[in-house]
Amino acid sequence: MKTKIQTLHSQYLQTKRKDKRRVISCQLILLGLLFLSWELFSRIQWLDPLIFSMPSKVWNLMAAKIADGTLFTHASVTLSETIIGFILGTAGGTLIAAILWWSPFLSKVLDPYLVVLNSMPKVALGPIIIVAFGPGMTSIIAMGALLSIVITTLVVYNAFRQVDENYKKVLLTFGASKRQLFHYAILPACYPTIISTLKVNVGLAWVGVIVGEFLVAKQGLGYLIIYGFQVFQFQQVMMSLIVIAILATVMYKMIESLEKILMKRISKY
Amino acid sequence: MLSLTDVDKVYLTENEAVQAVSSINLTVENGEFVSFIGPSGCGKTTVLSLIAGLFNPTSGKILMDNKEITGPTEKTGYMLQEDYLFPWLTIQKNIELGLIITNLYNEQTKKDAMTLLSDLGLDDKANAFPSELSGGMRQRAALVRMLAPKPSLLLLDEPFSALDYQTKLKLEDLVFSTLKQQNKTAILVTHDLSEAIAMSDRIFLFSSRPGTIYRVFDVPAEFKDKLPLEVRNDPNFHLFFQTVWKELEKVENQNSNTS
Repeated sequence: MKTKIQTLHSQYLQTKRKDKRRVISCQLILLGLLFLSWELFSRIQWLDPLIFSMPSKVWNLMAAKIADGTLFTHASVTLSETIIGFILGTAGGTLIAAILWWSPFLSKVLDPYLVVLNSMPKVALGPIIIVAFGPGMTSIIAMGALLSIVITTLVVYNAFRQVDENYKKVLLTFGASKRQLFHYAILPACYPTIISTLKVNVGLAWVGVIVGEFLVAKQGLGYLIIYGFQVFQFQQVMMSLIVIAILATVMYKMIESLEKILMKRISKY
Repeated sequence: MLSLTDVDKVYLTENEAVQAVSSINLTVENGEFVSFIGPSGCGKTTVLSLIAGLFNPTSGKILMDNKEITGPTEKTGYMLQEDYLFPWLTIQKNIELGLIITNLYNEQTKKDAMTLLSDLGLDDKANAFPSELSGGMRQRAALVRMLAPKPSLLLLDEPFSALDYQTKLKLEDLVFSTLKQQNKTAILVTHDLSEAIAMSDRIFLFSSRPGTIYRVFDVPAEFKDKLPLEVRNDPNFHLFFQTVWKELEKVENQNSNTS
């Protein structure tokens, strides 16, 4: 009986593995086809090679830029701006949410301002930010942070308010102060929400940073794109896009695994 | 000793002002176990919250050991309908949290709490998380959390209502014997008349709109030292149950007539 169950289980696992292999091979084939047809269609002029370039040329350019180290410089500038921006946005948003939770009066006063700020397309503030912070890295980081700070504030503040009243009651019957309520019930109950905003904020910070670089930068991947566009060098635009796609995905995956680690830590407290 | 004199509580909302409870007068002796019963909306939980110091009465006085209650103190412990153990803390950390907040956290109180935890059969669960425990175990852990700061007055807000029947009967016995052993004063809010009779020395029957004490019953002396389950099986249990039941029905009818 037992061996029968074991064979059934190993068969089940085998079909699972097979299924997974099939999905992955299809994904790889699709990627290969995409690049292959891009190359092919550009060569036979179905796509305008001047605009869309082709993978082999993009690859050559990338190899050259890697070799002379410029790609690394540009990528690391953009990457660090993005990381700082999204950390500032998440931490700042959480801090503001905490202040709003602390003072119901202030939260009532600020409510319409938050609604306006949230509905407003933040990139429209770009010129103001550049004037305020100067044409440099500070402005770009500010753009990255600004995009995520308002939504973080709203989401986290809502989470703070929706913590089950009874958890607060447990602490209140022991005579807890407001600070203790926040420290022992409100904040830990909302860690999952805060961590999940990290994932959203990574994407938003990329948008802010790239737009910021479009506007002022002399370095970075956003700068490479806008420069390539202006001098009609679309190889460079394509290359930057590919690098951004790779970096953004890697970063998202890193945040995702960080989320898993943190969630485990929280439940193991 | 706990005493309430002419206690009124009005709840204010934008739409109306509701007289939740009015002219509540009662005293509870040290070591006594009393129950509040009554139809829903009769303000029994409001009175419990007032005694806990969660909010203050609109008028009237609440004295504990001749000192007015103006806020929560470590002298009262409160148990809710569900355990509300913090899911991100282990059982031990959950229990220690009460000690930390009441400023009573030290090696001795910590050790006492752990002793109580093993007395209640949860010594192997100290490092487990609440999600790994059954409902009955969780409520026992919540009992330890409440008792850890050694309160003298315990407020039990329908603590057995979320449990299945068997667990509830077992836990009634456990809570009863634990509280009697430590000579605690306790107030139990419940909608289960049998539970009130089985556990308490006196029963306060509330009527609603506005909530006020309608009658007080002395539970027969022969029940007082018995465990709740034994009381439920006592031949005289049903007789007393009927007496209180009639009054409870009167209160409910009175409410349905006026509304």
